[in-house]
Amino acid sequence: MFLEIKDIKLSFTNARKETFNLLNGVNLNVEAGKITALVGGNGTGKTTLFNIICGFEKRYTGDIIFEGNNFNKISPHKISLMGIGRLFQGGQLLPGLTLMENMKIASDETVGESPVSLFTRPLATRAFEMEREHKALDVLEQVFGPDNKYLSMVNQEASSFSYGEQRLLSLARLLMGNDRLLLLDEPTSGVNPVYIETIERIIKEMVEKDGITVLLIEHNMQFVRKVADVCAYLEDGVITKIGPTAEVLDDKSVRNSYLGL
Amino acid sequence: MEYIFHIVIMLNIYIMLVLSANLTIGLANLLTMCQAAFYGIGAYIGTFFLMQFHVPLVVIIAVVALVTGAFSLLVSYASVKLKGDFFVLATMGFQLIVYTILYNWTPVTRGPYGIPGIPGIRILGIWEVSGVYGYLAISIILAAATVYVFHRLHNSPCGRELRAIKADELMVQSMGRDTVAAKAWAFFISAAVAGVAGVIYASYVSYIDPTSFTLNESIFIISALFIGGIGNVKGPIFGALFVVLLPELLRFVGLPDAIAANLRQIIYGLSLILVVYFRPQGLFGKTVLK
Amino acid sequence: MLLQFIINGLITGLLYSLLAIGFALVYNTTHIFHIAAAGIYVFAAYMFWLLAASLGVPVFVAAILAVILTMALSLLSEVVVYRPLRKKKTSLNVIMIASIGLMTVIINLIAMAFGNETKVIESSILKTFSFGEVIITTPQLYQIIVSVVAIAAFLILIDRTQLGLQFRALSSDETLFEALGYNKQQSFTVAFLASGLFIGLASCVTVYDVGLDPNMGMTVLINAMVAMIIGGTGKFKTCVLGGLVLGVLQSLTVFWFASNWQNAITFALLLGFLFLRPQGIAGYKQRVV
Repeated sequence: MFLEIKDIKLSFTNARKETFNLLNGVNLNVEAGKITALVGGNGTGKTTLFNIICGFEKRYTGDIIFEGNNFNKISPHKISLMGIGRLFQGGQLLPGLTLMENMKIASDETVGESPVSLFTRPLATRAFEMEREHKALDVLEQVFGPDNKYLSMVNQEASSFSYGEQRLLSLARLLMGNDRLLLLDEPTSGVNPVYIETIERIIKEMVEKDGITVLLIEHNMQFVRKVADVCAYLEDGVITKIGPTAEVLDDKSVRNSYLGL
Repeated sequence: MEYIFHIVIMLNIYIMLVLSANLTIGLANLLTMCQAAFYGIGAYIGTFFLMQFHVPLVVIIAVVALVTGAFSLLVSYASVKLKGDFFVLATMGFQLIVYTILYNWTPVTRGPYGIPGIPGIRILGIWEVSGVYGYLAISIILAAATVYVFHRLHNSPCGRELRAIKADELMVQSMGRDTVAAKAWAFFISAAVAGVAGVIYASYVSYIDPTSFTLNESIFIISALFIGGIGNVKGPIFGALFVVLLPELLRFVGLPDAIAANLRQIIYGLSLILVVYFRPQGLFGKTVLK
Repeated sequence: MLLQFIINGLITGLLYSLLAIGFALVYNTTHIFHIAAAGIYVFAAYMFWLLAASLGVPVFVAAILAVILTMALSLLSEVVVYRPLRKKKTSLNVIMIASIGLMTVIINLIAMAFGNETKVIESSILKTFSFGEVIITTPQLYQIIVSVVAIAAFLILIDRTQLGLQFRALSSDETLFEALGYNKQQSFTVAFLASGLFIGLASCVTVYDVGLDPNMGMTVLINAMVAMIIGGTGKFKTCVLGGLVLGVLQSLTVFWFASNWQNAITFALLLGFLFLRPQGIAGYKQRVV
């Protein structure tokens, strides 16, 4: 079992003491090597579910089991080190850092990032820095092709890239982390349509060439049809329908409640 | 001539203080208002050791750095539990409590009476440093070391991580980095350096009392930081230069001391406002506080 | 004896409430950490002294004039410092740094003009009033009257007027506020004037009692901030509760321990509430994402 989301429940109580069950027993098995799309209306808890998987949201009951390990409320950075990467909603490059710095900070190797390792292992730090730099260039080449323009722009600060480009680069950045599962929260949202094809290619190549499993949240149904193998529909706090994408998106009840058709 | 040495010594102390504040405020974007508290803790802890034990300089520095750094854990804890203005307030509260303890815990700190007759520092256990030349040498060495350390930190993966945390802490966590530990280290180093500056100050002026370690002093250090520049190494150095040399300039121009004290504060305050408006990264700084 | 201390604490608490309201009027609406309020407090005191003690203006008139001048300074700080920075979309933390600079400038201008020593306004012995075991001095009586009237007016304002509604709306949702067609800038202007009013009143009525010096502002500001936090950050009415609680607890600390630990209780309360109950006694419970 690759990623098992078991009976996740999450509720909120607002200032007027009203309880609201956002997630009401979500069960989902994500298969390895496939692209699974998680769809549903706004505010239905999809991002919250991602936050639960990644360890940012701890006020839930239920289990998250990844490659046999039950997460049990461990901290987000430890979960990430177990092989899970995340693209946040509206995810962009880190401002104030250059493209190369953005890539390096996403790598799995952190030698030199703490004052201890910096001062006690200066040679190792330098060595790993070179490694990180090479890997960054490799990843950029792999994703955007040899001699792509980004290779010469690595020392430019994040904000000098356009919104769409930053999205592409953020996706590429995810390859620095040796993750086996990537959670992508609305990868196409806010992006100029000219980039969507590239996003589709990048995601498909991640799965086909690097063997990564992708779980994505999307509102762009065309994109979901083109990219996702499996589709899960979240409604009223539970997964009400799951199966091959076309089947789910063509299902009458799904189209009724979600797409209003 | 000796007077110039005195200025250089104070300059070195403030270079250490402002650089230490820059690590948390400028790099990691954690606005701490308690640098003077660590300065004071270092001064008093160091004084305690100087007066009780005859240990070499290196040992004193190590002890003061470690103990003052340990106190920073309180601030680290605050940064995890509290966000935004509440965190800033908590650091103010920490500063005020440290001052209150220094002022009121008379049996240990002698409160407002202060501690006179602080001995000089011993290098290698033999030579006691007591003249201006000695402190000049020590302060230059320590300030240079501080500049070196912070230069390494800023331009290293460590500095990169702190800047990334400033940009988006959650994203950095999702990339497998323990941001709580990273920030804790930043606080630790910042406090340790401020503490060492404290013990050098205490030994140099051979008398300390709580009035040197007030909230106003923290504000003074922060002002130097924001005027000089945040986010790099030369900004804080320039800031220290500005706040240490300005009073001398006013004195040189012949202003009576009574007015000079207020006037230089007015200049500091005005400079802060103008810098914030026209050049928010500071005169020689690199980044802007978020 | 205990009762005297409690009464004293309540009276001081009323003053803290005024100060907390003055601070909150700016903080809740603009979210600016108005450290310069410390300077505005000192300004009010010195204007009062200048008029009443130095120029011989009758005390009541002097106080009113001082308060008006303070309101002007408060507005001036908005127009000259905060507004330009807000227009530049400067972050709130950075505006706070500017506020620190402003406080420094105001306090030191005053120190330069008037000197650093403590001054007094009223040095003659005034009547005291006895209510059973409890004694209340004339200045305390003024403090009670002014505070109660101001606080009552404020409570009515905040709950029952259009302006009060605007303040409350601003403090919870700025965008909605504008969507409803209100003018943010106008409300800010009024908020700063009102803030100056409350700080000025508190200042005049306090320094009439205890005297003034240029460096008293910081301590006063901290008391105001702690009172606001104890009551409940983000709400206006809770400032009154917070002020009274702080005043009484400080007084009891003096009664049970010693006066030099009075500040310690303030800082302990500050940290205690921040860590254990950041919403204060009656504020909004914040959900941290």
